[in-house]
Amino acid sequence: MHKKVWVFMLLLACSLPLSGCWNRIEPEEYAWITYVGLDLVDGGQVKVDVCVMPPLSPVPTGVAPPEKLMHVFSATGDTVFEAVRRVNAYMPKRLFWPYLQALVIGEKLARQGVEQHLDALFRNTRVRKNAWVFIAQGSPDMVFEVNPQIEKNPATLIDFLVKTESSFLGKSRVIRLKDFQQELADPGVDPLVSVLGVWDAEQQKLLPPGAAVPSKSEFALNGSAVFHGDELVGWLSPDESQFFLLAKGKMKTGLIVVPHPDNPENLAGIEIIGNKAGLEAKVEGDQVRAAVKIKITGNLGDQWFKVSGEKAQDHSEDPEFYRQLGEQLERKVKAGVESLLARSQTEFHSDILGLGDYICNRYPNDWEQIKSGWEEYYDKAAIEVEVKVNILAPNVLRSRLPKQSGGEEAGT
Amino acid sequence: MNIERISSRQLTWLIISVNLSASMILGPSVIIFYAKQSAWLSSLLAALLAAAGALLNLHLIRCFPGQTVAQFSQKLLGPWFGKPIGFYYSLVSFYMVGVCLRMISQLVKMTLMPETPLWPFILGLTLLVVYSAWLGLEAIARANDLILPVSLVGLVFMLLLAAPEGRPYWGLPVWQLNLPGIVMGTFTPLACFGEVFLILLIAPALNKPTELRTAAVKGILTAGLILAAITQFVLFMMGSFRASAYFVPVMRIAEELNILDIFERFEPLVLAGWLTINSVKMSLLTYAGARSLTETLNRQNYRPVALAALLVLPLLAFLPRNLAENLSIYVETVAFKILIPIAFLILPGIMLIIAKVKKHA
Repeated sequence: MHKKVWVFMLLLACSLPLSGCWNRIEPEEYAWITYVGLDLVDGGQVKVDVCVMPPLSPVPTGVAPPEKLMHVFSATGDTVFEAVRRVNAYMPKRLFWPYLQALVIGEKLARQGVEQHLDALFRNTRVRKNAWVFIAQGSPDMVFEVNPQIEKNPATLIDFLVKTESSFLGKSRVIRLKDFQQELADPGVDPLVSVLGVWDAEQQKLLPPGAAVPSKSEFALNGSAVFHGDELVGWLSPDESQFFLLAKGKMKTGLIVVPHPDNPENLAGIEIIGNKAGLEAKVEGDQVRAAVKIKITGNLGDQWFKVSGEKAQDHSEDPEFYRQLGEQLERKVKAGVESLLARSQTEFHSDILGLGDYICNRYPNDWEQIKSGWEEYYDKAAIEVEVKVNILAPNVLRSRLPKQSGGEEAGT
Repeated sequence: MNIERISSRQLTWLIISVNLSASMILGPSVIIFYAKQSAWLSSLLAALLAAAGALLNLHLIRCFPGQTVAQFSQKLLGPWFGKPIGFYYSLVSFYMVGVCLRMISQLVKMTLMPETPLWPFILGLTLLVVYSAWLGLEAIARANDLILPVSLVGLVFMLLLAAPEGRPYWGLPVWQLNLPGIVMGTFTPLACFGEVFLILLIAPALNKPTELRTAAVKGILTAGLILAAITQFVLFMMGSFRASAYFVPVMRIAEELNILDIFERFEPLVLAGWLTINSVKMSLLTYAGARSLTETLNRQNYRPVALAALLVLPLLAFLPRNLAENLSIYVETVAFKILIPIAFLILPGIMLIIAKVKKHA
C-alpha cells in the first residue's frame, strides 16, 4: 500500500513541470528590439526610440519578407526605464532585448552625461551587452529613417557595417556596450565612441544633422565622439580616429597615404595589415610621463605619380626603399598621434588612451595620490610617441615599376 | 550506527566543493573591491588562515579518534554542556544550507528566470539535498567525484574562451601593495572557507584516519588557489572598477562572451556548475547536521532527522525578505561574523584547551 502511495506521489510530482515554466513566452508574443535610440527632449525628459523588426527565418521559406523591416516606437519618461515601459502603451507586444544590435545616443543626452541614463540597460540581464554603441550628431531620429538598399535586414546591417569598417577602413572607434560600460566606470580612461550618420545614396554625401532622409540612404560611420567622464565634449575626424586606433593597437587593417620616398609630390598608399601598441606611464614628481609605442606592419597598396607613366630608374626591390617608405608612414603616424594627444590634453581634457587606467592598475598607491587631480595631471603629462613600421611587400607587382626601353622619360 | 566510509581523496574533493561553493559566488567581487590587483594575495591568505584553523580542528579530532564533535563534546564536557554543542553544530549546518538555498535560488532567478518565483527553486533544491543526505555520505562523495571536475572544466573552458578580450595589466600583480585592502579582502573568503568546520562532523568516515590532516589541508589550499586564479582572471577580464560593481562578475563574463558573433550567453553553463557544486555542499551539510543531531539525541538512524529538514530548510531559506537582508544580515552578520567563527575557531579552541587540561590527547 505504502509503495503505491509513493509511486502516486512521484507521478504527481513528475506532472508538475509538464505545464511549462513561468518564463514561457512564445516568440510571436515578443517584439524583437534591433536598435534603441536615446535622447533628451524639451523639459528634460528622456526619449526612447525602440526599433523592432519581425522575426525572419534564417532559411528560405518561399514567403516574401515584409516590405518594411524597421518599425520605430517612441516614448518619453523621466527615466529610460519609464520611457521603455511607456512604449507598451501602444505597442501590443512584449519588448525582447537579447537581440539588441545597436544603441544610438543623441547628442543632447550625450552632452548632458550618459551614465545615469544607461543604468537601466547595464542593470538588466536581458539587454545584450555585446550590442554596438553609437553617438548621433543631433537627434538619433534620422538614423531610424534610413532605408538601406544593400542589406535590408536591420539585424545584420549594423553588424556588417561595423565589421566592414573595422576590417577595411579603421576610421571610427566602434565600441560594444560592455566596453563602453567599462570605460565609463573607470576613472582613468575617457571613452571614444563611433559616430553614426546617414549617407544619402542619391546625392552621394553624408547628411548633416536634422536633414530630411531620402528614400535611398544608408548608415554611415563618421569619425568618433570624445567623452570626458560620461559627457560628450567633442568630435574626432575619421583621420584622427584612425590615429587613435593605431595608438591603441586596435587597427586591424586600413590605408594611409604618404608622400612617395622617390618624390614627395607622388603618393604611396600603405595598406596596414598589422598593428600593435604598448602604453607605459608613471608618475615622476608632480608630472606624469608616458610612452606610446606603436608597431605597424603594412604592404605597399598603390602608388600615384604626379606625372603619368613615371617609372623608376632602378627596378630592384631595394630594402632602402622599403625603409624610406616605412619612415614616411612613421612620420605621418607620429605627427598624427601627437596632434591627437595634444588636442585631447588642451581641448577635450580627455584621457582617451587610458594613461590613468594604466597608472591606477600598475601603481595603485601612486594613483591614490593623484586621482583627485587627474585631469590637471593628464593635461600636463609628457607623452612620447614612438612608431615603428615594417613594410612587408608591394603585393604582386614590383614596388618600382621598371622603365621600359623606348618608354616615356621620367618626369623628375 | 552504520558508519559510512570515504577515501581521503574524496574528502579532499568534498572540501574543495564546500569551500568553493560560496566563495566563487560571493568572493571575487568583494575581494577585488578591497584588494584590487592584490586580490590573489587575499585569496591565498584566506586559504592559509583557513588551513591554520583547520589544523586546530584536526588537532581536536585527533584527541577523540573515531568520534564526531556531537559525541566527544558530551564525553569531554558532560551531557549538560556537550549536548548544546552538538545542537549548535546541527543548527549551523542547517542554517548554512538555508542561506545557501536562498542565495543560489536568488541567483538563478536574477540571471536566468526573473519572473519565476523563488519557491520552486527552493523547494526543488530542498528535495534534492534531503534526498542526497538520505542516501548518505558515500553517495554524496561519489556524486562529487563527477560534479566537481565537470563543473570546474566547464568554468575553465568558458574563461579560456573569454581570455582574448582581457587586458593583462588589469590582472597582473603589482609591487605597490595595499595591505589594509588585502586584509579587508580576506574576510569574505575566510568566512566561506570556515565552512570546513564540517570535518568535525564527518572525520570518522575517513577510511584511513592517518590521512585526515593531509586530505583536509590539501583541499583548503587547493580551493584557495582556484579562488585566487578565478579572482585574478575576473580582474584580467573586467578590471577592478567594473568587477566590483557586480554581485557575481563571473556571470557577466559568461554573459558577454561572444564567439564569432554566433555563440553568446554562456551563463547557464556557469550557473549549472555552481548549482551542482552548491548542491553537493548543501547535501553534505544536511547530512552532517542530521547526523550531529541524531548523535546528540543518542539515536541510531539519522534519516528521520534528514526528513525533518524538508520543513526546516525552506523555512530558513524564506526568512530573508530581500537580497539586501539576506546578504547583509543572514550571510554577513549572522553566518560570517557569528556562527562560523564560533563553530570553526572558538568552540574547537575551547574544547581543545579543555581536552589538553583533561589529558585526552
